[in-house]
Amino acid sequence: MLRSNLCTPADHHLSRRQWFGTAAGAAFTVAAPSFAQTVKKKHKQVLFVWLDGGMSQLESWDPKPNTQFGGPFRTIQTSVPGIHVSELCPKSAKVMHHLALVRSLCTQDNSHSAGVERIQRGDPKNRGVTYPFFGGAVSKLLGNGDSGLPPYIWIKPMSGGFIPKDGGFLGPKYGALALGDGKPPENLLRPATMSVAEDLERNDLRNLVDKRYAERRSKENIEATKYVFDMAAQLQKRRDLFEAPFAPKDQERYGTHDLGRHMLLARRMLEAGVTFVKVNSYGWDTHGDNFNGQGSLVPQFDQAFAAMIEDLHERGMLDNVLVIAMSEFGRTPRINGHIGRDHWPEAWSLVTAGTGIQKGVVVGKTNDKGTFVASEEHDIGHMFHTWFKALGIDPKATEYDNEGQPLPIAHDGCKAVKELLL
Amino acid sequence: MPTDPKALLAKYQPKAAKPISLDQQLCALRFSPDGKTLAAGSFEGSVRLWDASANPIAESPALKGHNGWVQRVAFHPDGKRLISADSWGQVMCWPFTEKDAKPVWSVPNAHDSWVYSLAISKDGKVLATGGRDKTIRITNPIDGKKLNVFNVGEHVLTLAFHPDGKSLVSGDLKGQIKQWDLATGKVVREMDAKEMFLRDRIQDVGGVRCFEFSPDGKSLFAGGSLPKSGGFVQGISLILSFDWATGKGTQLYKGATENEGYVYDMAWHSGGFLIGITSGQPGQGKLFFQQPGDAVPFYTQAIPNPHSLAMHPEGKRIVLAATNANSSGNGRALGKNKEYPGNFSPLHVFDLPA
Repeated sequence: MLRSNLCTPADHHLSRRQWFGTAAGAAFTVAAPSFAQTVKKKHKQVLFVWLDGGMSQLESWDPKPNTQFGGPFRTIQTSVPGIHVSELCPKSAKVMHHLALVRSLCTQDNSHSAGVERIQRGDPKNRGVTYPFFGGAVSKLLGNGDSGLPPYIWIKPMSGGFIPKDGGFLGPKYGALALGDGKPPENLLRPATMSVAEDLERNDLRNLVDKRYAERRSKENIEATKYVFDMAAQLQKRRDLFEAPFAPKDQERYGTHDLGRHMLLARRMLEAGVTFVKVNSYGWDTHGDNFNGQGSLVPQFDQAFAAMIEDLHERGMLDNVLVIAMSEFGRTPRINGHIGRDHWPEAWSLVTAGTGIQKGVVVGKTNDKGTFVASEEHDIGHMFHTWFKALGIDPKATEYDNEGQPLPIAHDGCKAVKELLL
Repeated sequence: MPTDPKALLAKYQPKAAKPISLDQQLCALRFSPDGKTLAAGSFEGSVRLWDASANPIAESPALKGHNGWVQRVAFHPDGKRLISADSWGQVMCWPFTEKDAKPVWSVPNAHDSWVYSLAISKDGKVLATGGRDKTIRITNPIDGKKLNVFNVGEHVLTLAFHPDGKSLVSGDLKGQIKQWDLATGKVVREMDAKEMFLRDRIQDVGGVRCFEFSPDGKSLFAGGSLPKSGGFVQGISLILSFDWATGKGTQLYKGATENEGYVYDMAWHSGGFLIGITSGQPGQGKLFFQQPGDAVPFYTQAIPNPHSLAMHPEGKRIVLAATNANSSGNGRALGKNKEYPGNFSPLHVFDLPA
C-alpha cells in the first residue's frame, strides 16, 4: 500500500525519539565562525509575536478614523503625545513610550503560503539556498547563551514538535522546538514507571547504539543528534518551566485565553534565558466580519502584549530583549462585501521594542486614506538589517558560511532603518 | 394553516427595478412610517435620505454630524423624527422632513463605543440602544435624556420591543436572548440561541444579529448563523423562532451552505411570511421569503452581500442595501484611473404586488 506523503497533525507531535531522529536525519551545514562569542556577554534575546493571517493595521497601529476606509473604530491617545492608535489597543497605548511603530511596511507577497516564509526568512535575494527563519538565524548568530536551554522555542496553539525547516540551510540544529499549546514535548520526562537506574541503563544502551550509528554517518549529523539530545536533557532538568503555576494576578493581566497563557509562558522562557521565543496566534485572516473579528482579536493581543512589555521593563529585560509583533501582511483598506478586509502588503504596520530600539517613536507614514506608504517604504529586508543591528550584529559585516559559500545574513539591497535604532 | 407556497409565490412574486448606484457603503436602511422617505446609515458618518415617493427614488441632502459608521437608523412612530446611532457611541435625533435639518438632540457619548442596535417602542415613548460597551441605554426619544441603563454583560447586537410595549428583548454576541422588564430594568427570562455563537481559536464569532416579532406578538424571530469558523467567518444562515408564551425556540430557516453567512435583517410581511437577507461570502448572499412551517423559502434571489432590508409600511416594496460586484481581492488592484477603488452599496428595489 502506498503511503501518502501528506503529513497529519499527529506527525507534528514531538516524542523524544522523534526529536533526536529528525535532527539527525537532515543535512547539517556548518556555518561561519560563531558570532555568538562576540555578543555573549550581553546575552541578547528576542521575543517574536506572530499574528498569523494578518493583523489589520487600520484596527491597530495606523488607524484612519472618519475616512472612506477607516472603519467604525476611533483612535485613542497614547502615553506619547501625538501618537494615536486604535481604540482596540488601550493597554498598548499606555506603554507606547517603550514602543516603536513602523507604519511604512511595503512587502512583496499577498499570499499566506508564500508570505509567511518570505517574511520570516527576511526575503533575501535568491542565492539558491533556503534561508533560515529569523529564529533560526538568531539562534545561529547569538547561540543559546548560558541557559543550556534550546535557543529557539516556539509557543503555539495545537500541536508541537521539532520544526527543522526553520533552520533553513543552516541545518536542523537551528530549527524550532515547538511547544504545542505551551506544553512540554510528549514523552520528554522520565515515565513514573521507570526508575532512575533503569533510565541510566537505557542511556548506556543508547550511547552504544549511537556509537555504532556514528561510524557510518557524517560528523555533522552526529553533532546535530548530540546537540538535540543535550537540549532535551537540559529541558528535562527544567520541569519547573512547565509545572510551576503562574500567579493568578499575572494570569488576569495577560488573559486566560491562549495568547495570554502563551505569552506568560514566553516570559518565563525569556527569564530562563532562551535566546529566541516565538509566540504564535492563529486566526487573524479576517476576510469576513473584520470589525467584529479584529474587535475580538486585537484587544486580547493588546492585553497580553502590554502586560509583557510592562514586565520586561520592570525586570530590566527590555535592555537585552528585542520585541517584535507582526504578521505576514496587513489588511486591505477596501472593505469587501462580507464586511471583511483582504490581504494588503502595500502599506502596513508592525510594532517593535527593546534592546537597541528607539522608544516612543513612529517611523514612516501612510497617506490620508491609509492606502499606500507616503514616506520611504520599508521591506522586511530593512527590518532584518535593523533588528540584527539592534542585537549588536552588523549585518553588513557578518556572513553565513554555507560550506564555503559566503552569504549575507539579510537582503544586501536593503539597509537598517536608522530612525528605529538607538 | 400555511398557505400553499406556489400560491404565495404567484401572489407575491417580486419585480426588480434597476439597482440604484451609490458612492458609499451602507449599514442600515429603513422606510419612514408614511413610506415617503427612505433613510440609510453610511460607512462615512452620514445619514443618506431619499424621496421614496418619486419614481425612481430621488436622493435628498444627507444628514451630517455623525462619526465612523452610522450603524442603525429608525423612524419615530410620529413620522416626524429620525433617530440614528453611530460607531463612536453617538445617538442623534433629526427632524428629517425639514430643509437643512439640524439635530433636535444629540448625545455624543450615549455609549462608550460602537452602537450596534437601536429600537423604538410602538407608542414612541421609549428609545433603546445597545452597544459594544455591553449596556442598553434607555432614552426618552423626545429630548434624548437617559432614563435607565441595563447591564447586559455582552455586546448587544440587536434589540426589539414586543408589540405590547412592555418588554424589550436583547440579542448578544454569545447567542443569549434576554427579555427585560422596562419598568424594573430586570431580566424577566432568557432564551437560548447559543448555537449562533462560536469561539474559534481566540475569536468570538457570530451572535444574534437581528430580531423581528410577528404582529400578534406570539413569535419572536432571531436571525444569525451557525458559525463554522472565524477569519473568513463561514456559517450557515439561521432563523430561530421563539414561542413568546413558552420561550421555546425552533428552527424556522436554515441555509444550505457555510457560505451564506448571517441573516442580517428581517421584515414581516402582512401576507404571513418573513422576508430575510443573508450576508454571504464576497459576491454571494440572497433575499428570501420564508413562510413559518415551510421547509424552505418559497422565493429566493441571489443578491451580492445585502446588509440591510427596508420594507415599505404597506408591504408594496422592499429595498436592499447590498454590495457591488468584485468587492474583494488581495493586494494592489487599481481602477481605470490608477486610483484605489472603494466599494459601494447599490440599492436593490423590488416591488411586490399588493
